[in-house]
Amino acid sequence: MRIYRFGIAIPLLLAFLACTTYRIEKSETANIRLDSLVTAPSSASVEAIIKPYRDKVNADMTEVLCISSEAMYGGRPESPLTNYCADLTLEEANRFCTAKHPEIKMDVSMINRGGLRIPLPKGEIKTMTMFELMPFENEIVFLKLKGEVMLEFINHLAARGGEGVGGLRFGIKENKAIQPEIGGKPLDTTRSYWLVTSDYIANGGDGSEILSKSSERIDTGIKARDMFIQYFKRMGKEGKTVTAKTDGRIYDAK
Amino acid sequence: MQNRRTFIRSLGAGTLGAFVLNSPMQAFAKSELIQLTILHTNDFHSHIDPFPKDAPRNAGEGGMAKRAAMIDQIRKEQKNVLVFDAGDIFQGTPYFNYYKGELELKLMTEMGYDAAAIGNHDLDNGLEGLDAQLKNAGFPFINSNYDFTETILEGKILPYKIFKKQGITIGVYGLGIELDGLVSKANYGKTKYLDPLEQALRMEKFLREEKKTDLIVCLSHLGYAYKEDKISDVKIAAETFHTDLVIGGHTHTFLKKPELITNKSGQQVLVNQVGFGGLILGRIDYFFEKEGKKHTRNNDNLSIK
Ligand SMILES: [Zn+2]
Repeated sequence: MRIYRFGIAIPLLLAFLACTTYRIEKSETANIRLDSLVTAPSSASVEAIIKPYRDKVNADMTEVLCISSEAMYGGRPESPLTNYCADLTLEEANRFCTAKHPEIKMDVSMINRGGLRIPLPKGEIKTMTMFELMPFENEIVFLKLKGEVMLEFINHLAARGGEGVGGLRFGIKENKAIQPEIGGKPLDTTRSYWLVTSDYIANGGDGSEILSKSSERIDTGIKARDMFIQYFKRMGKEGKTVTAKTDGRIYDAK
Repeated sequence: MQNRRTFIRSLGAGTLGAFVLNSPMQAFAKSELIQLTILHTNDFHSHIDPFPKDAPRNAGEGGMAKRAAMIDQIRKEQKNVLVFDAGDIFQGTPYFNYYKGELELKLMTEMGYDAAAIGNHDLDNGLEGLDAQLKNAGFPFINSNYDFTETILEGKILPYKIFKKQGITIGVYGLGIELDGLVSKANYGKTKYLDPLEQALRMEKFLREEKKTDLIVCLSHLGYAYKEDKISDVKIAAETFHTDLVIGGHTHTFLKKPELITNKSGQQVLVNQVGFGGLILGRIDYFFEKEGKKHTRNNDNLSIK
């Protein structure tokens, strides 16, 4: 016998209150697919609420930013997608520095492979594409790192099998980075470098806790996606076609 | 923790026992059952519109207007309906990026949702982001294991809520997943994560023994089940004494039908989760009988429509 509860205060509170005690006799369940087999029409009141929101979003989302000559896929240790996104991040970050922080220049960019959610399609790149590529609300962060901290970070990227990087070249041997080069020159542990990445990575995401050892940090407040949209829009305006390449910036060193 | 039987015994009172067995209420007890219909979603992730016509999967399915129509239809047929969501309302389509959850919550309000749990993605715009949207929710968020004391959400999230339908009382508590490592620290701030099982045991004891609720529902965003030793919807069901139903989320698990789990009192508990994206509406109907008649709960009656 399954008794769900007793009316405890009953002896004092009159029997009538005991009426408020119930017990499950049985249960039935059904998980209903909301597909075309559902005969219920759409709710007009809900449709009416959605419409103005949808119209605004659709108008923005379908805007064509630029044209890509080929599809770009992500992968490790490097890939057209991760290279391209990291390179544009470095370029846009330095454009921002020139305007707002002329005293500094970004040396390295890092965009995590896992944060790029779809391959970029061949053909039209729309605002919608950018939302699909980067659905999360990550913001761009600048970090100043001592040479040895940068080296440790690069070793972490090597241990992950490679990530999206710009301004940086290294080999991976036994899960460690070898011959790291920044801006075409061997990494110098006696100096500092600037890294541009997302707040997700800067805050230790994907195991990058080492970045808590940065000596300076600038939170730009710029959403990574907005930066990408701005970049692709400019590509379109300038009539440039998006093309992808791999260049051996991260390689397996045997 | 006492089980139900010792609870009854500790109240003790031969008088109470005798009262129950020979209750004059039996004279009032009617044979008809009272039906309570619980509808639920989880992880609908800002899928306001149906999946696009060219989507590789689920093309044209889901959408809140269709869900609303389905709920309306059920309300026409049923007197006692409760609608819950188990979290991750936010994030997944541009609607969220543009309007920060405003539309999701307005529509859920229009649809008459009764409560929602907090999912990790509901904190994607930080505690401030959720706080700013609460004004659009005509229903409470329920969570029992996030301590928001030192945050902007203090006093704005309910630890539990009791609903009453045709005399039946339904106690609802909510559980959220560990935030560290899943949500950026900047987004959860000074929120303290408390052990979900401990809080579940505390809440269910309170809801049954002090609040005397007839049905106890846990809205969980812990995830259905894990290979590793991690707290989950299924574990909550198995490790508690009084919780009757766990409505889960987070792992986007598509269950064809709810799972039956045996709890610490040796009773069968339902655990359900309906995937993600608002593709499915979960439905559980309970048939209650007034206490006093001897009836065995028959789980064979559990059928899938
Ligand atoms: Zn989740």
